[in-house]
Amino acid sequence: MHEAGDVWLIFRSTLRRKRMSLFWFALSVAAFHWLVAVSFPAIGGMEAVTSVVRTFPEGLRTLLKLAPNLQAGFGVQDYLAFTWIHPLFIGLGAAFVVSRASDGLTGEIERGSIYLVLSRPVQRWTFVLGKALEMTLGAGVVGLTAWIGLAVGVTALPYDLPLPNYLLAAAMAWLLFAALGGGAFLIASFFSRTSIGGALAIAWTLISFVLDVIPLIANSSLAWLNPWHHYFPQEIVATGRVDPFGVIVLLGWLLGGVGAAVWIFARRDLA
Amino acid sequence: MTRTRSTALGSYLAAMVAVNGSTPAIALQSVSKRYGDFEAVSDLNLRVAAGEVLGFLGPNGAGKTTTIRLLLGFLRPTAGAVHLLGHDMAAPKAALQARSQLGFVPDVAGLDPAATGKWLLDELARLQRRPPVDRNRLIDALELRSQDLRRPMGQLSRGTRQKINIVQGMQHRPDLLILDEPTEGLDPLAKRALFGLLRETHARGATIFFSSHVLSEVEELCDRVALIRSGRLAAVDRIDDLRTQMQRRVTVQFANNTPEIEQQLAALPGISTLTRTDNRWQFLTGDLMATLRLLAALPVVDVAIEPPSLEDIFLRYYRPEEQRHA
Repeated sequence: MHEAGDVWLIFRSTLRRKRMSLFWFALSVAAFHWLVAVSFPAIGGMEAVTSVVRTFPEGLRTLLKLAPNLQAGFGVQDYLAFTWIHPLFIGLGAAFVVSRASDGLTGEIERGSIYLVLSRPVQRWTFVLGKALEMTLGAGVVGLTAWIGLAVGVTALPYDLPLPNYLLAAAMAWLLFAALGGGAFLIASFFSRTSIGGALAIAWTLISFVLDVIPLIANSSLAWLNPWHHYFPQEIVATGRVDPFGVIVLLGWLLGGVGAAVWIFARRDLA
Repeated sequence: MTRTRSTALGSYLAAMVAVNGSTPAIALQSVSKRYGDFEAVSDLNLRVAAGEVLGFLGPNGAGKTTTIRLLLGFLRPTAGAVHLLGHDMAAPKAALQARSQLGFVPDVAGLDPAATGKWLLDELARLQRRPPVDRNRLIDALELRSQDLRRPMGQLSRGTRQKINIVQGMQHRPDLLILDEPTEGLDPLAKRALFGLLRETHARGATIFFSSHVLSEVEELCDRVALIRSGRLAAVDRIDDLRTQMQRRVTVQFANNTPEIEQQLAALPGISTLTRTDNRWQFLTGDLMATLRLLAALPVVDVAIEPPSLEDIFLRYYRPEEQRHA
């Protein structure tokens, strides 16, 4: 019972301390999604976008996770779905979870503030869970505000767009960021220097992304282990469905990463 | 080296006898911490009786902070065992019990610059699970203003942040208080106030482990001192007992100077650094009685015998190995 209270206290205290950073991350992604929607007519509308996208070589389409068969059409719905895989959005989302993981564990050790908490009757696992909870909730806020930005933006467009499907894409983006955050927590749990823990966590998000666009690896039998492998916003927007297996894998990364971080953090030296 | 070890062992045994029959507040049993080939602390044996004030002295890099982190369970010993208030710090449940009765004032608290002092003190009090019964008294004694507690800590001076750090460690009236360089950043008035608070803490029966490299502070506050050097306890003893083991500095003036006086002084047992300026002689003696007997037989005009300061004791233990042997 005390432990649940400690998790809540650490979560609440972290959220309060980080609220301005969360606000700016959320505002940035909301503004980006709003901007993409409202600027759609200004860039030439449907025809201009389709003609540009068709010039993309296949490798670039894979990198951008664009619809494999462009002859089937690339409508405004696909264009707006593309914002969920845009480098700016995924970069901000990944940066958010990496910064939370590295600051929440290695940063606390580096600053010495962890000693104030753990010299009290607080178990280490409650500390990690409180931090992970704040990261997960923050990633959810980032995904949700992105959707709100898009929903506000599309009101200016003369199209009937499936906003609930975009909300599903936002939820999947949340899970993706949370999964990347789980991995980042695991990495951060080994280190006491933010520079090292943060750099390796960034490397983890970048390398896993790149591995998922290398055909040899993306088509291998182990490809399903990669969080990015289960993130296809265009497909979600087009079908209104998410792959349950993908959800399980992403949740597995979150829970497994945080669980392993708890295990390691409870057994290591804090110095 | 052998003498140092035997002194430390003797002190340890004496301390064990002193606390015999009661649970020590702190017990380190053959504790070592090794990082690869580097041994940060080695074979630490230390018992601090309940209600005692122990000064933990050592130069930078001697192993003070490592020892404190071992005490609190932040580091796991490579060998040995740590008990606080009778609880084994290697057992998670027992360690939680110990920490519920513990107060810790770290040297670097890493206080969040965006948080206010009041908010931090409230949050830490909730985690402590003991009400902050002494908070107002501490705030008054340290002359922390209410507006200081409402401002973000990034806007406060170092001294004010350190006062908040002290309050967080003591506000719940701990039974065992561990302080790591607590006077860093404090002005002389705040230091006085802190010492007053520590004396009150001691008077109510709490145990204080006071780590510092400021000798005068330890001398003023502590019953016993533990001296750590290169990761090993060089001595653990009462300051007075350490003094008796040390040489006294003798300054003596004779009515006249003869070669016989110099010969007799030089022949004293345990004498060192014999120097002369005009009729005034200075030397260190390890055998006070023999010195007094000799001086009684000589034409002494004036004599001053100074007890060694803690600084002398400190320098004795921290002088490089070759100088100590010389």
